[in-house]
Amino acid sequence: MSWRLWLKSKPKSINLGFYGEVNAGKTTLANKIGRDWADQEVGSVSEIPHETRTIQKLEKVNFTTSNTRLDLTLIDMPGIASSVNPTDFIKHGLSASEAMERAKEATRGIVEAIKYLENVDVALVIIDATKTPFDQVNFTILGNLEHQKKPFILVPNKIDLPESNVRLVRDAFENYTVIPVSALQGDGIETLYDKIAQMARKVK
Amino acid sequence: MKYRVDFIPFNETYDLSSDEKIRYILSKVMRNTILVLESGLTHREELELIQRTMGEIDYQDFIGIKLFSFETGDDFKWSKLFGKGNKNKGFTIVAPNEAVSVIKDKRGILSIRITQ
Repeated sequence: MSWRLWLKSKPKSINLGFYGEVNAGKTTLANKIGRDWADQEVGSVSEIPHETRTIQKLEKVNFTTSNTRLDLTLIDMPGIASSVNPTDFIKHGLSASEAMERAKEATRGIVEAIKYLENVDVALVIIDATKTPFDQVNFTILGNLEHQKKPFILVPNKIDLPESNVRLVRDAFENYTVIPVSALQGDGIETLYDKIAQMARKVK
Repeated sequence: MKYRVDFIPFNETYDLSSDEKIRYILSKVMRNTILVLESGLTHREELELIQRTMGEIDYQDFIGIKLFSFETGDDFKWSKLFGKGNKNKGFTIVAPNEAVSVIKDKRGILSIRITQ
């Protein structure tokens, strides 16, 4: 295709889903991508677990690399967990009633995120690289993406922190596409953009 | 709190549908039982189990589960320890969330400490 035709062609619409365990940095990464390509953020970030409790979307994100144009919808998912404990929120300073409300919203959010999996075209599975990556939830999400034949990228986040261990993530998830980033500092983000473009080309 | 550990042989669950298997697991785990299932769950069933668990949480007596799967085999890989693919794996362990904490050593042995 000539560059004139390429410029005129309609960008491919892609639902880019952000999945992963709680507090892995999904919203931080979604915000980074939103700021870079649409000057907008997707959601708020907090150290208190389950800050994202409903699916957050940012539509019409015009994403362009040297050979790919995409109309992205960034879909930031609530973190997936197999338990929700209100006490965890009280430890972060919330009152008992606030903690209970947050817990109820978090459980609803987890179900929402699971149900939305089939609507995603490409998934970023974000892992906190400062923790051991062996939470079964990560393997469960990846297994389901594989089963549904969805292209996905495994993204160890927080690599700017000295305690991060990307090698451990690579060892745990050998044979998967792994792109380490710091969503906060932007490290590795250009490589991630190239890989998103590559994965999006696989979507029919 | 005292927890019971039930080792569930293959023939106890092999003819159950996914829905029946998940109901069976939840009914036991919610009664303070740690299950070691010889007929492991598929990743699809694991996700369904998480989803159904969310519907059972009451935030006091039951706050969810801990879940571990791994495949059988001679050569060790992390992906085997936690299960990959969609075949039934060697084992799946499901426990009440507060019943266990996990310790894993560098040889890839899954060590679980049961709460007193």
